[in-house]
Amino acid sequence: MTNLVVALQAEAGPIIEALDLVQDRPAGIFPVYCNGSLSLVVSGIGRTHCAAAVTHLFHRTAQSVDQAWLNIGIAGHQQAPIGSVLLASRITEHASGRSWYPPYVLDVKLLRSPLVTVDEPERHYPDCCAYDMEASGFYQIACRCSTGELVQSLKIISDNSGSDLDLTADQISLLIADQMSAIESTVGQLSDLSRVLDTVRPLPDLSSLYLKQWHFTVSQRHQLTALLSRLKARSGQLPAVPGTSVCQDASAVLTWLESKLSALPVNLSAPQGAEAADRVEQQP
Amino acid sequence: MIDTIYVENAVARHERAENMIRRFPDAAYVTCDRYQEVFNPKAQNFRLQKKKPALILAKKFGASVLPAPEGYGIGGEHNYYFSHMLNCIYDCRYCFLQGMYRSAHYVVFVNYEHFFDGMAEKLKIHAGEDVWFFSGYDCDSLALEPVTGFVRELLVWLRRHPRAQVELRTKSTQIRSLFESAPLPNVVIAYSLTPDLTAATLEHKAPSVQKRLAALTELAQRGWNVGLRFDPVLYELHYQDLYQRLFEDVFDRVPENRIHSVTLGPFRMPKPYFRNVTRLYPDEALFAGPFESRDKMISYSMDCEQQMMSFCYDQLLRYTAADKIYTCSPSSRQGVTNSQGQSDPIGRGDDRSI
Repeated sequence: MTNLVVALQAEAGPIIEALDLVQDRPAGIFPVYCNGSLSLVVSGIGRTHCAAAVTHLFHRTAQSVDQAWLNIGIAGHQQAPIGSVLLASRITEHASGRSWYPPYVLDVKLLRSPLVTVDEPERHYPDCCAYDMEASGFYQIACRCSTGELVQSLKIISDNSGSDLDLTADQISLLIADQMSAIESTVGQLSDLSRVLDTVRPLPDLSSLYLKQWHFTVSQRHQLTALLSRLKARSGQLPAVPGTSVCQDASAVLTWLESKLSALPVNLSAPQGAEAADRVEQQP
Repeated sequence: MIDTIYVENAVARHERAENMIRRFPDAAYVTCDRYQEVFNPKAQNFRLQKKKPALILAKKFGASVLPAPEGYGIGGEHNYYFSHMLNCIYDCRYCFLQGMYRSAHYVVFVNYEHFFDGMAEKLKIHAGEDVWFFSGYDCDSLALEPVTGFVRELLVWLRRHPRAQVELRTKSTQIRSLFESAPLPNVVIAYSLTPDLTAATLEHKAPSVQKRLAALTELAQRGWNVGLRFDPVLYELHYQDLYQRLFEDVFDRVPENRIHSVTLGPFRMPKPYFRNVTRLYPDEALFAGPFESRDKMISYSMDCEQQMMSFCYDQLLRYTAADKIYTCSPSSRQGVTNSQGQSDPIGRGDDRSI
């Protein structure tokens, strides 16, 4: 699941339309829109609302950890031209002075800039960075739901020194709509990145066949999962589940699996296709 | 290669930092107060960050040169290590760094003088004696040399401090900076080597073993002392064939008289680090290996470890003298000792791969 968090309905409109999102019913305390692998929440203005909306979306969609989270919205900037798009390289909360540094592992060619989250609209742009009102709340809570590499904040510049701060909803929607390709590209890359972690999670059905046939204590369940994971890593496939005549109880199952594991020859010297592709020497 | 550079405010105007930043004009430049703000947060994934590690330029405070773990050494009595850099540009699956750090970013401490002062202090403590300093414990000593220039400056310092003996541990072919200097008798360039096929599977982004051997041979031919580090020795079905071929290849190419030392070490990793790496790479066959838990470490069974160490030790004796060979863990030392029927022919250990 990739999660999008926006402050305003005017910001959400073009995204909902472009990504074919449908409002989730019954409505909760924040409007949520989904389409299977994507979900979007409209938080309202301010870092507190934004943090609450992240929590709401996380629970509402009953997610596992380490999913992708992207905060999208408009921001002011001292110098960047109106309509330009950037990713936050550092998020500083003006009120507390704390900073966070979203690790960047994407390949999107976007400007990257420090971002300051303020509690009141910033009209003077004192530093060469972007100003918004949500990102620090978003980042703090989203990082409890996922790893920092999958939590990013994308901002579209709506105002800078010398421009009018009071935009209409239509103007805001237009700014977002004009940058939908950058948004979709970032969403796509974050989704791909989160799938790397999906592949390393133990498959829930790996042990289900065993749990159906024998009673395992909690400790035995952990041992079972570990053994099945090791068997899968070593041989790429799992042995057929033994019959109850072969293994009378969970303890016998674990012994049987251990014997299967120790019978497997250890062969580390067999590069797979993907591994072989990795053999490009790193250059500084 | 570097898309993001984080710089501590304290070193933003440091000449070395400015030089490094200039090398990456397209990288995003982000300032921070202390590098730990970027390096230490919990919500980070080493595996994802390895796709695009950032460079962090920082200032080292406090103790910079630390006592080496007990048994760590290649013949010297006083052994210390230092890390001017944290993390490595390669991605070797058996490396303990991926279990030790949350972040895969490269931290470079730009106040090199702090390390030189730290070493000078140890030389003062051990007046009149040689002191060994190991570089490459938390990084590869040479891999980022074109960017950092650390070794170039270190060599200048070492020329003035002949009692300081330094091991530069590496897999890198970035040896140009060494050729700018006449060989120093107090420096050992030590190459980590594993069998070709194993390296191809596990040592991602590292130069091939053949390229390492070419660099090693060139260094030796130019008069540098070189070290051979077979650490970790990894178990697999045909490990005897693989290591036999590796030793043959290495000693066929590297002149024996320039080999300062050879170390052997079985795979071992502290339990918490092992737990972290298996979470990062549950699909990695290496971590599903025949390991057991011993003395807070994950390692091969005593039998397996001793068989491997004895085999490798015996093979190495075909090519080099016993007094050049060192092993890394007490259990493996014992195994080799038993196989030779001697009291302790191989001296001190070297715990580098843990």
